[in-house]
Amino acid sequence: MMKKRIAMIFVTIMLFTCSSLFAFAEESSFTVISPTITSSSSIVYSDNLLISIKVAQGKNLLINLYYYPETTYSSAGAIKSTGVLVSGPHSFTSNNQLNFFTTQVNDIKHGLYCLSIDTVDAKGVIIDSEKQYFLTKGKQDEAPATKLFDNEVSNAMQFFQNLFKNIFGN
Amino acid sequence: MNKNKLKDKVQSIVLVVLFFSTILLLYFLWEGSSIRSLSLPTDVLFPAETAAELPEISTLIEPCIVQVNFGSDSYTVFSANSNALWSSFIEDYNKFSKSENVFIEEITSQQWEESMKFKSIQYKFNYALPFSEYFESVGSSKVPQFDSIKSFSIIAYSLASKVSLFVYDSVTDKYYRLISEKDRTSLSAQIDALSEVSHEQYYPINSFFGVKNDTLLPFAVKTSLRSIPTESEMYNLDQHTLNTLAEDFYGESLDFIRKITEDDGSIIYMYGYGQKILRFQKDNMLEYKEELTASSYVETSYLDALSIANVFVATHGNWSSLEGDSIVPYLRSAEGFTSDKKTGYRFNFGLKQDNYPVFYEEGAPIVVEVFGSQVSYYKRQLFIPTSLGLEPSTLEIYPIMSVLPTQYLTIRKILYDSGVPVEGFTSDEVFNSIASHITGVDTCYFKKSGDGVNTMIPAWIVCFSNLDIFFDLYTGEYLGYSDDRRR
Repeated sequence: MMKKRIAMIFVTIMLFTCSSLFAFAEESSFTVISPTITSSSSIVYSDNLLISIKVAQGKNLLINLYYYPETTYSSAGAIKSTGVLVSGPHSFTSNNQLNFFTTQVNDIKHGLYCLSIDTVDAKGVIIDSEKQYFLTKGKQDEAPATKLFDNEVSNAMQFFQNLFKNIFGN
Repeated sequence: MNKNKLKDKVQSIVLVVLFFSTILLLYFLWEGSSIRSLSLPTDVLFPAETAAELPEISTLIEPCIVQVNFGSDSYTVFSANSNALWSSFIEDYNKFSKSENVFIEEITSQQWEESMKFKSIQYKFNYALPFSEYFESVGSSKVPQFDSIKSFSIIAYSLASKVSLFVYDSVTDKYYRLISEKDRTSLSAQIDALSEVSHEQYYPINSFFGVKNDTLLPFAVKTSLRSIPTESEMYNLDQHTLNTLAEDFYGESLDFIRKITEDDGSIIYMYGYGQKILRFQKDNMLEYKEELTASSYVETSYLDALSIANVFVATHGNWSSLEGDSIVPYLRSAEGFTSDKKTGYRFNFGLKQDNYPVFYEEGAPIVVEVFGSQVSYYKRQLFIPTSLGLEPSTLEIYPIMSVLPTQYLTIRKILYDSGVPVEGFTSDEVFNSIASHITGVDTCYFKKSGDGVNTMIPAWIVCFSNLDIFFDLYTGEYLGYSDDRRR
């Protein structure tokens, strides 16, 4: 009985060790922090584009940013048009424990962009490639879409509050 | 007979004078009013030359930064010319305060944050200023509705509500919105005009490192800062000069003052059993302490206390250096303290070199404590440039977003030693915790302490809640830290 239990514990530990090893093996060599592209939104509201990528130690990356002035799609929905290189190629090698690659593109034209990140080995051969597409739009700077303050009501309320405060004191 | 009549008349006049004097003294005793209120104005007490060297209070008070959101996630920060922008804002506030219908409402921190996401301008101070007292002192109309705001450390304008000004009081941690019937300010046009001026692009820390922190970091800075050799204004002062300086504190005669020379060459002038102590630390600084006299305490407002400090510095060493070199002082930080349930103020004055703030590793250049109308503490350590400075470095500026990841272990040690909690075990967790604690980043001059270290070095200043850490602007190397804001 005791032997069985020890065997069970041993197997469980082995399973966890293996899964964590696999997790490390599949860990990406980089994380894109900016532009913020989530599964629900790939629109960036900005006139200036900051690119910030957190890079794991000992990795070589090749980073390019493409802009698509006119976008055409195939029947399957894939982008057919050719992108124009607006920033790059940036070669970045991460030597420290913590590494961030950062660059900025000011006064961008709004439209479709592609951030292309290639992982390169010591010989300069691309071993992995990732592309992130996103749209940029200008931010509306007029009055907020949803009213932050209800002026009229609060003004009237405040008027009476101030009036009563003046009469009766605080 | 005539003589007797004259005598009676004189006696009557003396009695009337005594009667009125008694009533006047009783009035002061009853009301607790200050005899000081009867004193002569500053320009009469001090000759014209001193008055000319007395900086206006309004020039000493300036925001540490002016933060502008141009909209579309485009930000910049003005720190070098914040005074000019603040003067312009005061004119706008004056127009705003003259509105017929003005209201005030308390808002939530979320409403504040949402408002600042729009095109906006924020004037941020390192200290809290009394709201009504300050704006009245700069010529604004009194608005009774605003009396409920005790103090402010940030004042802002946002296109989220064009008819409003936004106020943050760091003492009470409250947010307010001041509302007028229409936009009377030119701040919207000013923001547009500033966007046309050459400026550096800033981004929130969140965009660089993915941690929750809206503090802005510059992507790149252009500056011609160069190392500047300095010398203490106290360097090599002879005995005669020291005695003359001491006379400013003790009057014209030093007959009743004990003079002690310490082993390290420091000289102490002491009155009584230590009621007043003046110490000249050899070739370095001047420190003066006066025993608090709570019995003669007269309640003094914040700005009156600042005015007393201003006059005291002007008459005890001057606002220029002792050699007469011009320096540009500003109020760097201020905080209240209490003794016997009575309030005093501690003012730390900083200096600017070529519009950039100068920080010392230990202490502020000028510190004055005012308790009632009494100056209870005064410290002065000024380092004056001895030449225009070395040639500008040909090296490129080491970007701040590279400094932080390479120096995070040094930062962690300093924060840990100072009691700031840095969470996490892995390098990622520790770095994220540090990045989330940053409250400001700027360029400045830094002067390390120690004998023979007399150069002001161009530096990055990275601010945390209770201390500042400095890194070389061109190499990113750690230079030192200062927690003088707490002392």
